Amino acid sequence: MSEMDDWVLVERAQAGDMDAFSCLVLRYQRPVVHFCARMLGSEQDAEDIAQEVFIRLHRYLARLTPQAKFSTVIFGIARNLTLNFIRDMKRRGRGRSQPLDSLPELVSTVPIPSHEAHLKELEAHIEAAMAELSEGHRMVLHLREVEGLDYEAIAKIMKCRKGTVKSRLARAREQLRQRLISQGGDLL
Amino acid sequence: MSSRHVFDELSTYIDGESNDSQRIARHLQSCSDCAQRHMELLRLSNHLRAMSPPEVNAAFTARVLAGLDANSQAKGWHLPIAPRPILAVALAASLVILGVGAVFMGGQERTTPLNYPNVASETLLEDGAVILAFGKLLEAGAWGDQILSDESGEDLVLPPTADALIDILAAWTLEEASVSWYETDDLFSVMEALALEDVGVLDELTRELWDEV
Repeated sequence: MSEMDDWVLVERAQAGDMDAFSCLVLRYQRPVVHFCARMLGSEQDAEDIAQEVFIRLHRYLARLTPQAKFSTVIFGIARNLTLNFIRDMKRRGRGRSQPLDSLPELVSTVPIPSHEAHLKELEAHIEAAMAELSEGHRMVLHLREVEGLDYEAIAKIMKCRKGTVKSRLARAREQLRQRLISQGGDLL
Repeated sequence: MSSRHVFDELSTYIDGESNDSQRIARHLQSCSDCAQRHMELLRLSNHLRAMSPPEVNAAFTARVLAGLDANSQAKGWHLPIAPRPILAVALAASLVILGVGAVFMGGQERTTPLNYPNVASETLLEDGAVILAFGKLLEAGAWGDQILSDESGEDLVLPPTADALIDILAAWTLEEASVSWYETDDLFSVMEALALEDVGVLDELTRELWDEV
């Protein structure tokens, strides 16, 4: 079952096969949690929201019809829920769960090989720079660079035109580049 | 340097989405500024792709399945707090708007231009109903609810229009209505039901709300 196409699993899940649904969850849980963590800045919040993503997916199963990519469905739900969560946090005066100041502490104080240390430091800098981008820019960068989705799929998820994806992606990359350069060092 | 800089075109170029990749490639061979920017964007892209995703709790799938069980055991819809009149009115208005929304619903991949003043003419709603509340233009799409944003990411605020109902709803900014986020969540539940065209759920919610009020 683990080799089955996403839509075959959806079809089985629609027929009540919970093993097929569990297989979908297993297949997409890490990408969805990663996406939510990138958007929210907190792995705990990310897991909670990701859990809700799959519950919503199950609720909407009956309405699903095969599309080009199942990932546009699952990330479409994740997009809505993370934006709703961010909106609610802003209303309650709470920003991203992880303050930017704490991000450099992602670099472990335990001695580790220099190459690995460099990579971890780089990741921490990139995460910090990403956190400064707008939600839309973070989202478009993640969907393109991490999930490797094409412009059309991203446009479907973000409910905008392909041209908008193109321009947002260019602006997001440029802003991230400038932020990393302003942090100095040999980040790029 | 053979021509003007191509900084603005590098993003689509590295994604293989450029319509003029040969020209850009030629330019990169002769312009050191653009070549450097190109390399920086490629490195940035490689860094982002190489970053490891977070580990997921081993009990994640079990928690999802437990969440499904909990949902299926819940009987009907309930409100976490006592509704206020404004919510009931919003619900009623939303139900009226269902008539408007229904025009936009039902079709797969249907795209409908919006005809409201001050809303960009290129703004489109896809596959969903149009719901207006709290002065915001909202979309109840197939996957839930969200505030429709313009290209800059700013929420679109709906201006008053000639339609009396829309006027009423447009006047309700979130701050003026003093609606708590719980109540807002309930309204979103209503909109979700609208998106799902679940008339039974809407009827039940309407009765509950009006009884309370």
